[in-house]
Amino acid sequence: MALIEGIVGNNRGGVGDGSPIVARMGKTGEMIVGDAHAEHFEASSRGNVFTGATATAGCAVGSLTISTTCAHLLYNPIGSGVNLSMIQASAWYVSGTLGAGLLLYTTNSGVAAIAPTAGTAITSRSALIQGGNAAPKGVCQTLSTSVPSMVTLRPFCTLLAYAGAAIGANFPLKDQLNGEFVVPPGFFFGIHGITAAGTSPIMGFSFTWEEVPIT
Amino acid sequence: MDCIGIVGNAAKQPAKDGNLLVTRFGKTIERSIGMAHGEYYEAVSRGNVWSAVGASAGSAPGTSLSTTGAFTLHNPLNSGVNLVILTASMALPWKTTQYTMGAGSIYYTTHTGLAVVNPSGTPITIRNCLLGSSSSPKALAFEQSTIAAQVPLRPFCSLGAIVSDTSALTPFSVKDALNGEFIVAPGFGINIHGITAAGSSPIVVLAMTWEEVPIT
Repeated sequence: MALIEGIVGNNRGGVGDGSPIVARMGKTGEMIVGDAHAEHFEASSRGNVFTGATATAGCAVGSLTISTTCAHLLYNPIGSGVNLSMIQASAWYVSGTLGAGLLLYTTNSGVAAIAPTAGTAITSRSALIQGGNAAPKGVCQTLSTSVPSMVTLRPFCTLLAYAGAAIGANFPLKDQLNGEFVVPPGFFFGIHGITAAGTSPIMGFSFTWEEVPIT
Repeated sequence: MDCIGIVGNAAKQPAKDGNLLVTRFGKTIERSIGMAHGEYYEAVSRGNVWSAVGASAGSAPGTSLSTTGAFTLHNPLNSGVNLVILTASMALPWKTTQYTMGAGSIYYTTHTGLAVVNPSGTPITIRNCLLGSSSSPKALAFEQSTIAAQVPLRPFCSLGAIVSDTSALTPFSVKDALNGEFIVAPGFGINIHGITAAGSSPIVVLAMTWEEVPIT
């Protein structure tokens, strides 16, 4: 068995490119590391990351209860051969007066034998922006109906009775999930509101996810 | 055996799949790494990460630290795992009747001394973050729990005196990526609880995500 060794504090003053060098270690035996690239570069550069957003016209936020309709969801079809690792979720205001309440992440409590139907299909796009990439296995839909046995996972954000005409700070609603939820085949991950009616509240939603082969 | 690499990309150009490469170092000899997947993917895909969220109707956040916890995640004695807290989140729910939040702060709390008896309260259904997994968690989660006297760890967030149906504020997200900042050993718990003014029937929805790591 070979031991991996390095030198504590090795050349921390800096070394030029191309120099062979022994690894730098911390004072408690940890190897000192740094990211070569941004966090999702490896997965995105291999064409495994996708994003799906509602149409710019947005969609209704939700209703007073969890039902069989989901505002925005990502479904993993049975037999896809991949897990969907959720990387990011976002939401934005489009129009109307929002109904006070909350947006929640949701899923289904049992395997969905068929994809949720009657929703508005979303064209998901590869995060490797070069064209010609493989299509995603995950299916994004807006206002999917016949969503089976929807249950809540955790809150995404709070909505209050905001109207676009009111003065308000810009509000980025982006949740860096980084794999916090993984969607196996037969399941979906959704965003849905439990809110007051408001007045024609319309928002947009998006998901970014990585497709990881199941081994 | 020394771990030896080259400063910068030894191949000069991006390598092709299957090529053998020497490991890369930065100019201050930090080993250059890349993430295969999202930060939590490995733990989640192995079914070790769990999520608990209070009822979507909400419950009282609390006004002072006592023996009642608004949200409690407890690690039973002899569970064989540590609970590594990954995220905490909060939102204000919809309710038919108006409520007003009490101004103040929401805290992470725990208790001193081993809890031989598990807390009680309104149990929360815990779900695996590998959605649909049928495995069972070791942890217990409650709303409005009865626990040992709380001591504060640190603040989670502040609350303003929001009026549920008339405050026309922009949407907001309250999520804390703890990423292992707190680890709950068997016999202990972590709570989310408010130190706030009374408000008028205030309610919140609280949640936590955690990894269960075997104790070796």
